Amino acid sequence: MMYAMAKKILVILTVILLWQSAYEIFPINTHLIPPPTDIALSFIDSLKTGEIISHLLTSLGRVIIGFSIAAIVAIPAALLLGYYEKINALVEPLIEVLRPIPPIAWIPIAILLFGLGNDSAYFIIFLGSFFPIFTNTLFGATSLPQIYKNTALSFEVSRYAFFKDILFYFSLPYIFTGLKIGIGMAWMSVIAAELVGAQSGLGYFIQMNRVVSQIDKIIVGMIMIGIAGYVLNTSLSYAEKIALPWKQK
Amino acid sequence: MLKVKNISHDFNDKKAVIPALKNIDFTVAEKEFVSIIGPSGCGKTTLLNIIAGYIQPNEGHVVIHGKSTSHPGRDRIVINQENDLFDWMTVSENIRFGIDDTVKNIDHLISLAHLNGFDAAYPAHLSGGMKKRASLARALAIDPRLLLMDEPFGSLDYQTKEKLQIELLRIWTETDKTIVLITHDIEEAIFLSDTIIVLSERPATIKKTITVPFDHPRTIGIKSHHEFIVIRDEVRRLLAS
Repeated sequence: MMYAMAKKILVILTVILLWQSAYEIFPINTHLIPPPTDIALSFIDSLKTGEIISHLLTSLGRVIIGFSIAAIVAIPAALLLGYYEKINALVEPLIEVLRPIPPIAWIPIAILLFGLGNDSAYFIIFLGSFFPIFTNTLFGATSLPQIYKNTALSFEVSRYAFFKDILFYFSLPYIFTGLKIGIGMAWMSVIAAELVGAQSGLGYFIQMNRVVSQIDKIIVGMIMIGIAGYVLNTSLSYAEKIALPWKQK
Repeated sequence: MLKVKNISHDFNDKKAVIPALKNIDFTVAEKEFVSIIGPSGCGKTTLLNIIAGYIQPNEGHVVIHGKSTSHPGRDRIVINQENDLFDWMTVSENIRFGIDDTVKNIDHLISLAHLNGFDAAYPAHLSGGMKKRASLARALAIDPRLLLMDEPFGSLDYQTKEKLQIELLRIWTETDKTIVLITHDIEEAIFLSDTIIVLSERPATIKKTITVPFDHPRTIGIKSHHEFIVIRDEVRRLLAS
């Protein structure tokens, strides 16, 4: 475990080392692509002023709100449609037409509807994470084996208990697959939304530094985006382990 | 207690109508153990699904305790060949599934099914035989009058199967249930049941109803008894012809 971790860290350090040594061998313009040492200094600087942390928290807050709304809407909707197959067949074409539209294609309409700011960002994040959560949950709910449906009929369980004790739990591993894809989409969506339609957040931070040609800060922002996305994914995987004890060995 | 009255059923395929059951008519007495045996694909499971109420027959009906019934219900629980336990529930949560009372003691069911110490285990961590016993305990928890078993031991190895057959007989005598068992295993049918109903190839009709003359409790020793072998050969002939 420790050994595996050490190997992973070694890979990252090697890449950084290669990057740094490239400047000694090739005549690279350090203003165009700054070396790791410059970026590290800039990173420490951004942390000291608190600037990047405040943008990070803004982006995370938006993701948590947009993603939560998406999960709260998508999961029950997909479970219900999985149960009522006839309604599902009716709305399926609509979903399948909306689903391929990338979240960034909604940005113009979001800005017109909600203006620049949080509401547009929530809307874009919601759209980005809704479909993966919805389609995975629906797939789970519609693959409930007949044997469980029959058992529920014989035991005469109420419709509420059927949803709560059978359909939900059977679909839960699929729900988590959706949530894990969804959180990645949510994080990509917030950055995209902030690049064009916000006055704060990590997307705005890198965009603003492009305007003032602070390449080191752009890269600092990008690294922060990567780290935060990784942490979000890992947290969900951890939550999944706790929520699905019957899947553990 | 159970009357299967002149049931016929067809399956509607896209291309053709496939007759599955034809004029099936029999009666099962209270506390009786009846096995239905037939060639594979003859419609045994369809018949069980009709008795359970999952399928409505094209003709005929099922009468339980004098009442014609067409919906599944807690008076008759099915135990399947495949795992029918809820994977996300522990053994004790599965057994409690049908019970409304959350404090009711289920220890006697756990010991009846020889699952002591496995209350908190998930089905994925149980052996095939233990899963069947847990499934049986879940059914017994709601005290149904009739147990419908669809080749429950079909996927188990010989030793486990024989052990479970002995346990099933023990549980059956201890709980006074009526059991209808679907099987393709001739020895299992004779060893367990009071009556054997032999079905023909599709569309299934009743070829013969055989009364098994052994008293209960039975031991595995009856399998080498002369009468046992006579019945076994007769069923074998019926299934082959």
